[in-house]
Amino acid sequence: MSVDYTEETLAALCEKHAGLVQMLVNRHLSRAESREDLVQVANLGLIRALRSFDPSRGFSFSTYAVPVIEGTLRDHLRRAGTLSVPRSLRTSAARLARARALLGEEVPLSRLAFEAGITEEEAVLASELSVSPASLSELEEEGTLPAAPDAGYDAVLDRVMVEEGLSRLEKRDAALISLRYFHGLTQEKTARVLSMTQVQVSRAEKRILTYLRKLFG
Amino acid sequence: MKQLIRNKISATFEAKSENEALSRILVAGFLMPYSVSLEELGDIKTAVSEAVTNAVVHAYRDREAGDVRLAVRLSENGLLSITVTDYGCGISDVLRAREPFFTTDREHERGGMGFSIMETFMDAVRVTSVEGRGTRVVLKKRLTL
Repeated sequence: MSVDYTEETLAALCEKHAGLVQMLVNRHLSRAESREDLVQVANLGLIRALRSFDPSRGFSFSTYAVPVIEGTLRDHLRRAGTLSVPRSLRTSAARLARARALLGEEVPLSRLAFEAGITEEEAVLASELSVSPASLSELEEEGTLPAAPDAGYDAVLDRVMVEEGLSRLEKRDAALISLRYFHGLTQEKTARVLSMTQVQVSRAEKRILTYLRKLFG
Repeated sequence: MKQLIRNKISATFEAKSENEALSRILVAGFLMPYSVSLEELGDIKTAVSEAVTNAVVHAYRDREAGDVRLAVRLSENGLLSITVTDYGCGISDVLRAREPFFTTDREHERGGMGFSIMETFMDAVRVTSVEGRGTRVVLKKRLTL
């Protein structure tokens, strides 16, 4: 499933697809990231697409490459996003998390804000910082706050593992991993979507992660 | 019979991933006065996120990025209605697109779970689409106010 290229060929191919890369990068420009950084990340995705492209599937390369590059960019931004958050917002998020642990899920956000001693506006923004699992190892440590975001390249490798692995999984297992990893749902919510119990999701997840780790050992 | 509107808001933004969080913030801010439980709020935000992400990822994939419109409406009797509209390529076979696990080969990592998530967390999901013209997703949930 993997195509090998020489360094020169890769460089030439990156040049050739520079227009496509620019178009996709343009959709993700924000104050937080420089264009150069995003182009670098997108090119990592492009190289991945070049290596895994299978022309016999009937797609043109551009058609295939777009979601791969898009996914790489989105993944990078999801991880890097927390770096550009002002400290005060992070403090508010921590206070909110503590209030939430104390008061539970049935209270409204306005009550939580009051208990946390922050404004409702802060609470709305801070509740966006509550994180979803961002890597497979974090999935395994459900309940711990994630560490500092991975370096860009590690994040791409992690994604490679999950994406490659997804295609080898049964539909239901792939759906489970997709819900947990790409959609960032808790085990409870994943269970609701798949009509399973949370315990079943937990067991299945352990089994699938063990399998994926063996695959990429 | 048209329900009395308690409150409504609408916003039009670029089909860019940075606006996914913005759409969640809009909905959370809108619902703040109505004492929706954290759990329910999270569910609604997730459903909106999926609809907006669908538009960002798919609607303009073969063309220049366009607009996404988000409209939120709360009726006096507690019916929340959220509409996500794009003006992009449209879905050729909506029934098939809504099947769990169905995915166009291009988006295999999201695994075709977007609609399943919306249906799980909202009371009703209606999708209308015209190829080449756009797609409209209406999410409804009855809130206890």
